[in-house]
Amino acid sequence: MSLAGLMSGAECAVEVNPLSQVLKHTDGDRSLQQDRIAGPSSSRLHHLPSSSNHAIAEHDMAMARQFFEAQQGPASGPSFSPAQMAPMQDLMARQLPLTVANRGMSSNLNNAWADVQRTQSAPALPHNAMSQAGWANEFSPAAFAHGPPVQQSATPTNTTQAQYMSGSAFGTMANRYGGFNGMPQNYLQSFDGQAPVLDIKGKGKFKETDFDAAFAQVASSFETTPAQAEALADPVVELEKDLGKTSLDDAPAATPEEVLGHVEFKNVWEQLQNSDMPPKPEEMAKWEAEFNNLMSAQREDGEWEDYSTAMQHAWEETAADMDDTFGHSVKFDHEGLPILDAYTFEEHNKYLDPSSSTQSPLAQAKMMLEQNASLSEVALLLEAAIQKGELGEGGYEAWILLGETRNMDEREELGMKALSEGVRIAEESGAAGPGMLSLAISYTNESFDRGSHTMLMRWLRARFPDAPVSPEMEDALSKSAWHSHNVVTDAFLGIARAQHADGVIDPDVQLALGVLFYTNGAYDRAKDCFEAALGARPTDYLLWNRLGSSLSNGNKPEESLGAYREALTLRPTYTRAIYNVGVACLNIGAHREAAEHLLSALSMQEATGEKSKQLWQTLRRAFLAMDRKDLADLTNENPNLNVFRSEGFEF
Amino acid sequence: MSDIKVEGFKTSAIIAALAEVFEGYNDEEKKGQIKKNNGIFEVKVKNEAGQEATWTIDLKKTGTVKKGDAKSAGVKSDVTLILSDDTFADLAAGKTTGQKAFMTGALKTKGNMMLATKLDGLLKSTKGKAKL
Repeated sequence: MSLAGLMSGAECAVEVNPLSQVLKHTDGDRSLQQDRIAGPSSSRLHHLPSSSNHAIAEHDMAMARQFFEAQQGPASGPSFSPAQMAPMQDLMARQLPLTVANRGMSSNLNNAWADVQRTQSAPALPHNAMSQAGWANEFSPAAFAHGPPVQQSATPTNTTQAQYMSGSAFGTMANRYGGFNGMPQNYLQSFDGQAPVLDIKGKGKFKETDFDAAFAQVASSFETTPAQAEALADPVVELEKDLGKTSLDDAPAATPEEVLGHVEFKNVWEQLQNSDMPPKPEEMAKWEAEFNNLMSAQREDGEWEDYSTAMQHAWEETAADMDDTFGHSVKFDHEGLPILDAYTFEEHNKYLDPSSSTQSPLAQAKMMLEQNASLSEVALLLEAAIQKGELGEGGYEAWILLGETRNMDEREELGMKALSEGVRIAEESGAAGPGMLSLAISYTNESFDRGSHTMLMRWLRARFPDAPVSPEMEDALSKSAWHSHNVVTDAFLGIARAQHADGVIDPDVQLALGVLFYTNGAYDRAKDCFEAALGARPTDYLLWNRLGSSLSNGNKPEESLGAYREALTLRPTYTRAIYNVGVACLNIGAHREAAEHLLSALSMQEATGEKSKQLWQTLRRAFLAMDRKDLADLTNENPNLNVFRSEGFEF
Repeated sequence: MSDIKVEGFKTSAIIAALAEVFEGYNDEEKKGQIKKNNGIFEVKVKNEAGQEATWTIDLKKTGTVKKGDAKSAGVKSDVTLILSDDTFADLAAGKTTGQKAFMTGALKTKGNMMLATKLDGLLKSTKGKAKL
């Protein structure tokens, strides 16, 4: 779908400028929509496309377009289908004057493209620079704006280059690399900041060259999958027949000009390969060796299908590991969902005492929530309810409520476990849907990105059973977070657009989109989505907190405080929001205030035996920032909070 | 932590913050970090003036941060990260990730590359992360 729309603005802020949204509709995503309708022409590298040439042409154009548009925007890269082409295109484009590419889409390129079209059939390509520019222009997505003839002629260029590249198992490498946790996307983003790089002589700021060369070297060390190269060859052959363009590889060229262009490309390629820019060959060999070791180490594991997935998993687990919440290393299933231990109930739960009130603990819990009671108390009641067998609606209600309460109370590990249980029960009882959004958010907080995507996707399927979900989407979920992110984002955007066309803003869909963007680090977009959702649900304190966190993590701590205040006005016992205020204060440098907020958050957890480790740890850091190591050490002993009051902290 | 700081480097303040965070860990957390990372990181940073500075982050034995390279700290590093002052600052601010920096060549590594992936997480721990 339209990453174009994504690039050029917040999709979520639908009500802010409806016209712009409409414009995006008309402008944006037809190509990929058609692509989808036409059939699975994505991942040409994996299987022979059954779709028509036309679809492929548009597909290519869309990818090229996205590639360039991606240069302008942060966050989401191209969707999954073009993803695998994108890396190759990246690398190819990189070798050519990036100045041209970096100018981005403009009518200049449109014209240049048209020019190139003409020159391609006429004697042209006078000298290196010119041909290079022409080459880059061939990549220009601006071409996309033109009609079919342009598209079609563009396609074989892209294709043939792709073929050229894939000839050396490059495609494989790019795939694998593409799976490298968001590499292509990141790659694209890297171009934003890169100054014009490529100079034919191979000089200039050349981070990419060594990379490129290293790439090629490693590529040759990977097992070549000729099948992939072959798969690519077929559509290319078809296209060539239809459009009568020569390919770029060693097939005989039709005209001298084409040969020239071909030679140019090869020259540049050779130059890059042979350039002695860093790293030196010895270093490269070492790098290659390391890579191989890495690869074989992962391969021994036997679990992962290909290297990119392996790397991705390693990366994710690292990210997850860094979080202290789960003390041990968490394992994931094939969809990225963490495999958790069972929920551990509180040892001393006064509500379990049979002599206590005969009122249903579940009902009581709900009542207390209404009355803004301490969340820890509510959690105890819910645990009692569950342990007494009162599970609420569908057998899942109490679990989900418990999970959400625990999360609000900044007890993420418990919250996640409870939500997992609730979601599982709901799914098994055929009422899938409840709790999934909350669980996805929980995963995001713990950096379980793929799990978050999977859960959001499940929610979408449950909530919108009629929404089209292609098998590729399912497939993507089992790959890297980068793949799944794009696929899931597309799916949600599709729904959001459809809703917008009907004049509806579904806060849940906006919420899900916001979580998606947040997970990927696109905090500005996330902020827009949450704001849109708040437009529909202004009293939803959870949304206010989420808005706040998007601002806070987006390096706008002062603004985040406003949002957190709203959340706390609506629910004064919202522990997590207080924690977040503490974090924001810490980031601003207001250490004392941070400590006070964190202490007040801790004081709300008196009901349960153990308080949130996260709270203690952050408090410790606040104390250290204030140069009070004595207090920091004290936090390790789970002291009575009055100790801190006597130190002059007011909470 | 003043012995860690080096004038003229943005990185220095960040590393100092990291050192503070490590100080703040109690024994249990420290052991956890050491177990998770199990590596000695050398960070070689070059600033715009062309000066170089090195720090050693020991998350294998002691869980501390020291100025100077691994040799001067008396340990052997598992991975050396070579990057510019600006890149490190961007990493810490969250403007880029370790992977991105690596892909673009802004971050180079010597030694166990996989350990470089831990860098992101380490830096994240210096900044409080708001919860969704």
